Amino acid sequence: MRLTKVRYFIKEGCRSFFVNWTMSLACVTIVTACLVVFGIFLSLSMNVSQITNYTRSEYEIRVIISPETTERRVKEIGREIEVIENVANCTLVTRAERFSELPENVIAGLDLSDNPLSDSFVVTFKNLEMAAQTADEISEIPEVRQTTQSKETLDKVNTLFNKVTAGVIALIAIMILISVFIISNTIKLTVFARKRDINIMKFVGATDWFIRWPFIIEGMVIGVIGAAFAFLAVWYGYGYVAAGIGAVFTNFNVFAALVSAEAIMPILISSFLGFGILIGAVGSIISVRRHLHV
Amino acid sequence: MLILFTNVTKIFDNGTEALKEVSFYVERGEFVFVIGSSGAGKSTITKLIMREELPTEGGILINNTDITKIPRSELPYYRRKLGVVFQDFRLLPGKTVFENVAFALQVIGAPKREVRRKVPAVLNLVGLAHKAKVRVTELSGGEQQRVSLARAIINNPPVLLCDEPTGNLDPVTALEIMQILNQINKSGTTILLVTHASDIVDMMKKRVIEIQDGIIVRDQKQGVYSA
Repeated sequence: MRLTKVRYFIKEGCRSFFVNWTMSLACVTIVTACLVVFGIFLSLSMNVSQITNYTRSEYEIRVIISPETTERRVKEIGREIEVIENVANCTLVTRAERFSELPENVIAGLDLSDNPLSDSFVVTFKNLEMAAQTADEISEIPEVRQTTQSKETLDKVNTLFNKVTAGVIALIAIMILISVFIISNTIKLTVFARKRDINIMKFVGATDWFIRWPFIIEGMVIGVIGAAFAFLAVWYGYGYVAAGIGAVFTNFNVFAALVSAEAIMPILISSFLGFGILIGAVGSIISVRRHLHV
Repeated sequence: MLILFTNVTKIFDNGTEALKEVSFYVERGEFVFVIGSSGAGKSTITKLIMREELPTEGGILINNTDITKIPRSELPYYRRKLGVVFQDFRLLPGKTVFENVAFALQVIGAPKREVRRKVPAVLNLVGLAHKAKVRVTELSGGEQQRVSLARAIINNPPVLLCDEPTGNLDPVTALEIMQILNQINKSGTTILLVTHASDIVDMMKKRVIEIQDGIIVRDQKQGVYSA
């Protein structure tokens, strides 16, 4: 493509944006609105994913060792558990430590020699899906008396995570479709207003792409400006909401796991710009197409 | 010959038969009026030459090319060899006189240098050099038609199609436009002009093709409007 043509396309695309400023403003508003909703879902999905991952990473089981096991053997068992592939962490909690964790009214009048508890390990997993299987593997060690895993809780966390992920993906997909529909219809209005111009261009021998490019660039300009407004709205809004949640739920660790506004910024910028430019360009191509058959 | 219609029939989707086995030819450098009452089929001829429409039957050769067989992707390149002037001027309203004329050059990717050289020259020819920077919406009807003429001839097309070019103009302005067209024709451009302006046809004394109900009823050299 010749440089003179590229210059012409960019100049025309930008000029049309300002000449048809009312339509451009309408398009920018719609792009902004769609991207804001998209951004809300996106930040929601990132947080749900982070909170679920946090919850999953906090999942642990307790491995109780038979009381008659020697201290040396207990240490050996610890090493055996650590080498199992799916084990992320294995921490020994001695019977003395477990005893001291008991409520004071329970241990009142008892000394350590009366301690009925045995040594145990707190085990966390790399892959939670495989936790039950790994727990079974640990149970096969002869001195392991019991593994206290809540299979029900584990299943609940896994199901919740899968459902939330699927739901958010579906919502984002629906949002994208609605956005494409609304934006291409709005651009269609601007293109319709310039149907006569397109007709003239065809009669002086303009190729389809020569006609399309300024519209595509105009669509991209709309997308970029819409993305900028949407970014500012979502970024400031998110920072405000995240700070509010953090202040209200100070005692809930899970809310400490919220994605920070700084961490969400590059994802918002790239997805908004990409989505805005894509929507603007695709919307323009779809809208111009039917007027080119002259 | 430059334009050849052989047994061309055009039936539109709504069933209207606009042309019935029409045959005629136009030599290089000729000035031809196509006349007839409204709905006679005059404008259908220009639409067919521009390949805005395809004939239902028959063949159309322009400059030895069967234009009915030009693929859609090649149409822009074919249209660049035609100059077209419409009754309603069809100018780009947001642009200046210079930009409207330059547009026909930009479309073919002409370098800026060529645009700067050719546009003033052609604006000079149509007497609008002094209004190059004026928006076309600020011009009178006659001036707008002169811009349209300048745009049509800037690429030196061998054929200039004019569909009722004086239809929206007062008699004096119409005469000015005809003088410019005559000048363009004298430089070698073939002109096919569709009109029902009898005074202009009578005054110019050029070849006249008369159409009635889609049939050529008269083809007369140095003809007048009413035989």
